[in-house]
Amino acid sequence: MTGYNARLDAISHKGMLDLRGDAEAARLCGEALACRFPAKPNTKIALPDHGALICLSDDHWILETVDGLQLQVLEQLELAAEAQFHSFCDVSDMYSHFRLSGLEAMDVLAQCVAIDIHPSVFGPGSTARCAFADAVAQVSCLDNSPAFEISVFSSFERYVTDFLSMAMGD
Amino acid sequence: MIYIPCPHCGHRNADEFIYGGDNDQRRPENPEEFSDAAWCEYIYTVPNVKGITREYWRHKRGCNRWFVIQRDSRTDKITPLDGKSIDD
Amino acid sequence: MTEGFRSRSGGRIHRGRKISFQFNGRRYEGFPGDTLASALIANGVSVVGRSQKYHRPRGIMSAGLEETNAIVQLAGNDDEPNRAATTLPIYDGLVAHSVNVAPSVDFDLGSLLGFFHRFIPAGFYYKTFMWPKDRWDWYGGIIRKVAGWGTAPAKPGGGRYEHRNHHCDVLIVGAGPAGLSAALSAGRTGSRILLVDSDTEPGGKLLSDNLTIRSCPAMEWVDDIVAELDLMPNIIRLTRATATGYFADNYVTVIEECPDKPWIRERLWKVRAKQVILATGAIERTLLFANNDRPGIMLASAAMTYCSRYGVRPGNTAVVFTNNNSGYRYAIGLLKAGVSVTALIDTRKEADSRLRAAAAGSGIEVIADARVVSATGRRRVSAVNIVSGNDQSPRRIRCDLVAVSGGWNPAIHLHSQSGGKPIYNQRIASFVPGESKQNERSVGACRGELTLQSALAEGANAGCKAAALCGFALADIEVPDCEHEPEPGVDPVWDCSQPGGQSSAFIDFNNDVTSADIRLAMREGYRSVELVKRYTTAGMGIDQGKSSSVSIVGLIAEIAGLEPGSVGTTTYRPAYTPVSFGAMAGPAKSDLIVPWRRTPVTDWFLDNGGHLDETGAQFRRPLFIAKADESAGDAVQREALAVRNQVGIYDSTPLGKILIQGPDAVAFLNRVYSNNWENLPVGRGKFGFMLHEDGRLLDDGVTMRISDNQYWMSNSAGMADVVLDHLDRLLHIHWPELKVYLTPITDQWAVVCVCGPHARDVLYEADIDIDISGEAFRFLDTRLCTIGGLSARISRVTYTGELSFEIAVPMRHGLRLWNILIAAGQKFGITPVGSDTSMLLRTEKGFIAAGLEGDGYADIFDVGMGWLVPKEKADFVGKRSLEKNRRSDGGRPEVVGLLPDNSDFVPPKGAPLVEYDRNDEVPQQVGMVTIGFFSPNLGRSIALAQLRDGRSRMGQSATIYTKAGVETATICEPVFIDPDGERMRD
Repeated sequence: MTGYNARLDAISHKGMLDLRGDAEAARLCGEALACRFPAKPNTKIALPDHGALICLSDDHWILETVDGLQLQVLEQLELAAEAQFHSFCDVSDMYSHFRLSGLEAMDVLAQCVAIDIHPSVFGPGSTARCAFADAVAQVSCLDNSPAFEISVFSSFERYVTDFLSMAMGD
Repeated sequence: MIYIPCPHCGHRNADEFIYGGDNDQRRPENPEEFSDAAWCEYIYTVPNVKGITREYWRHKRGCNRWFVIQRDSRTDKITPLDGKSIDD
Repeated sequence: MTEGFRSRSGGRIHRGRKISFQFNGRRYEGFPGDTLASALIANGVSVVGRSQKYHRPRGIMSAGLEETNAIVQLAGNDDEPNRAATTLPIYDGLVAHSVNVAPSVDFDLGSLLGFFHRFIPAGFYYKTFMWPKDRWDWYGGIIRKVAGWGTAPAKPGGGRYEHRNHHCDVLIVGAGPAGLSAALSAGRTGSRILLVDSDTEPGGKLLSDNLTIRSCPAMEWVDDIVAELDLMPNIIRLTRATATGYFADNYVTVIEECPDKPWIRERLWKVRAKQVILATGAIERTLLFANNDRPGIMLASAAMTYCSRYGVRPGNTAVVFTNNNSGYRYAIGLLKAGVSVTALIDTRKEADSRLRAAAAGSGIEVIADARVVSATGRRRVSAVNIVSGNDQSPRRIRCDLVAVSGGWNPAIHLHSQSGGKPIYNQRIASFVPGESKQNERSVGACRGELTLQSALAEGANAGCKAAALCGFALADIEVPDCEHEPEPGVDPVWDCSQPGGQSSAFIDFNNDVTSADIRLAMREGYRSVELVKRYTTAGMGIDQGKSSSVSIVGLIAEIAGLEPGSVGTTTYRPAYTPVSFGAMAGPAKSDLIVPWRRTPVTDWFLDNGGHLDETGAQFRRPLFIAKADESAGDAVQREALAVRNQVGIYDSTPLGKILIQGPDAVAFLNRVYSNNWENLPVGRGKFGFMLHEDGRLLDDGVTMRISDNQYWMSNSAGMADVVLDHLDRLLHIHWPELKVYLTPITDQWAVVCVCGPHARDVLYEADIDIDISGEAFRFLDTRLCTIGGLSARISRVTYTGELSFEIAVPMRHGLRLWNILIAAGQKFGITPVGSDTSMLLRTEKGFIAAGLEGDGYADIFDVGMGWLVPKEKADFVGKRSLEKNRRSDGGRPEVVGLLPDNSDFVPPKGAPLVEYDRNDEVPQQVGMVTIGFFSPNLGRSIALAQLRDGRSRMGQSATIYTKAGVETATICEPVFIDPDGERMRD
């Protein structure tokens, strides 16, 4: 047998919003969504209903929700942050998502990213935006099975799929 | 490959970043008051310091933000701006 | 030499199974655990190669990665040049042959060089082949043939070469006593450890030196430690893994051969370690005497290794030649292994008394204060000549093995690569690591602490310390009792050959450099070790000086009457051992090496005759979409006619798109564009030119106001990344006070452009839900709409000069939109067009391409876009430089049109426009064709060009210089079709 014990699944679109704004804008949006916007870059929290919020830097977040709800959430947030300088934008189509799982998923992922993905520092809930082969990806650890979610810009979808397949040893 | 401390993402390999020039090269607010010679000096003369230099980097394949680091151009040793150590 | 060389028992080989392999065309057998070198010795093979310059017969010299002689080429599926036989485990089906022999190792034509010429001295090439100057190529060809080392494989290597990133707290290089001891103490703290060792099994010198720890054979201790380490989840232990490079910020490359997965041939680990412990051991050095390269002369440690680790005797009758205490241990070891040791020749007057007694007790004749001056024998050493004390008359001792111990060189290579400066240590007459420049520490033999007890203690302490520095609590340090090894007590002798004798005392076996070469170089004035090295090529062979560099320094010091410390060392650079190209390249091939981006329509193009090419920002777009059997040129002509006469459809997805949002968006646009951006109504767009601060053109494009404080900016595909960097940098660095956010949204939107007289008809046919008549939806208007059931943004912008609409839909709907429009356009003759066609169409219109008409010198006025710079406008990026440039006097490269007098002649891109001086002999360049096409819409050729002061030369004739000859053209306004822009505003 050749190849690692790992599998790659495409994940269908998610509703995604790109949120830029200062701490006050984040506070207002947090109130609207009944959550606290994470302030530490490369952290991910689950939203009360569904979806998640990823902090990229001190004024930049990515909100994930169910595909189809993004414009509704966008409207809600626009209203909440109305008085504050901000820039919100629907980016649901900008990303393609994958799930990489299996006993040797880490052996595959370590060929694609240079960040430390050891479970002791990159356990479930961890996320990072980083170089992924020669593209960029948002990489999150889903669970210790292990399973990872990989989100890449849509024009790189094929490249990333092919690279991962190669890394898996197909 | 040098390891660059991004203030948002922590240490990352240098190939995630692009270099943005010297921190002291701020765009003047009053270009019209510059003589041609002075303007050329600003445009074309890069300090190229040997030793401690403050410079801009952009974490292009990460948080995508610009930031300033202090680097010794002789050793590539990066030291914090505020004198404290840079956490990993 | 008649009896078998393999001992009946002992060693770490597995005698239960035989392995069959081929070397130089003959079949041999060995056992699992053998290296190619040990198996060849076991089969009585003495000559394993020929030296590079003189083609002298050479035998196995070492038992490790410092080997310079036994360099082989693997054949068959494993085709690979320049493998050291001493580190190559044998396997079934191994086929290897010597490099550098012609036609065979036994009869080598090149060795005639050695008979008919005197030795080729240092600098020979520099001196000899300098004249005539132009013959170097010819000489070079011959020299290459003579000097060859192996041949490049004909086919791509089999198996997979993998790259993998890795992080750890402590990287430990070397699994000898020091490395294992370090791993144990660091491992017990729970820190994450990577332990790498280049050998096939851990133990280092314990594998062969028959030492004892806790009064038991040391390998029992090794087995215990390894068993404990392998149970720790925080330790990864690699065998046959060599740390080859130590780079900035503790970034270390490790090449692992034959990893845990059989389908992986080599794996390159890129390791980022918080702390590094170097436990790389020491390499024994040889001593210089005449003919010290004869087969049968090898390092004493290697002879010992072959006896004890591999169960083979490298000879029957041995002479041991030493300048330090190690020679005694090895002499006794050889004796115990069944080799008859006739003499131990020690350059020193005094040796460690215990060792001396032990040697004498074993019946070995110890000859103190003596040295070997030469060896005899050609294909195998047959005797050595020694002189002792003041008695300079040589004594001859017969032997078929000379075990040489010239002292130990710590393997400081990685320390040196890390930035450390080695310092000379008198005690061991070699270099040891200097101050650490990174988070690394050396322990044991590679720090010059050559005894077992030091290795164990230093390793344990270093492991503990390194882990503590990574935040792990100190563990109890456990240092086992062990056999007490004496210090080597080395006598620094560098050259024992007799002065004036034949210059065959080799210092670098690999490059055939003798002590005489070093002396010659120094007579000719070279003093710096770096220069002597380059002049003589000493230390520049396959082993990169592992076997020779310290001896070179020592010899230079001796000749110059200096301390070796003041001579200094050469700089050690990566890689520590040769690295295969496969390992460097990794597994990525073709499209995976450099990624390219796709749009939703890319596959459609591939299925429909699209000829894809790179067109900027890593996108590949069709240059044209050819019908079956249609040529590229015909396809472009057909597409261009269709756009002007019917309707074309174009995938504009790769264009850069940036959402600009915030209360200061207008102020921002005003500063980055040359024109004014106040009062642009919502739903309108505007054309703008962006400049570099030095006045050069950066990019052009349309920015649309899509809501009160939201602007949608389009960039040329190729410039999208550059523009975003430029804008973001201005915003973050220079104007942090501006309340503006930039969001790149290129990958959110698929954009399809429909252009041509029937464009409007196609959109109505596709059920667009808004009025797009010329009155309701003007040129540069933008609206939300529904088309074919898809929500979209439609904008009237053009790159072709035709009536043109760009429709943007979320990326996932891109192909659907494309198909809807193709279907709706059928009855209007809709034609997919590529970017070559687009380039033709814009040329007909004289639209500027910032990367062609605007080169690194032309400014916005030169390209005829001066109207985009309002006189009264306040500062913007590039303004001050423009003012300065405009003040300089004339001679600007201005954009003009060209109508070739021969209407079939298409001026090639880049062709110079020239003027002839008075004598009509030397053409002067006055301009350059930036683009040329045959325009199907005009039925003639056209071109755009930069021409010095071109705008004042309308109607005059220009001369175009091509390879085929000179052509003339009439200079005209740079617009060939619809000069008033009526079509695009229709």
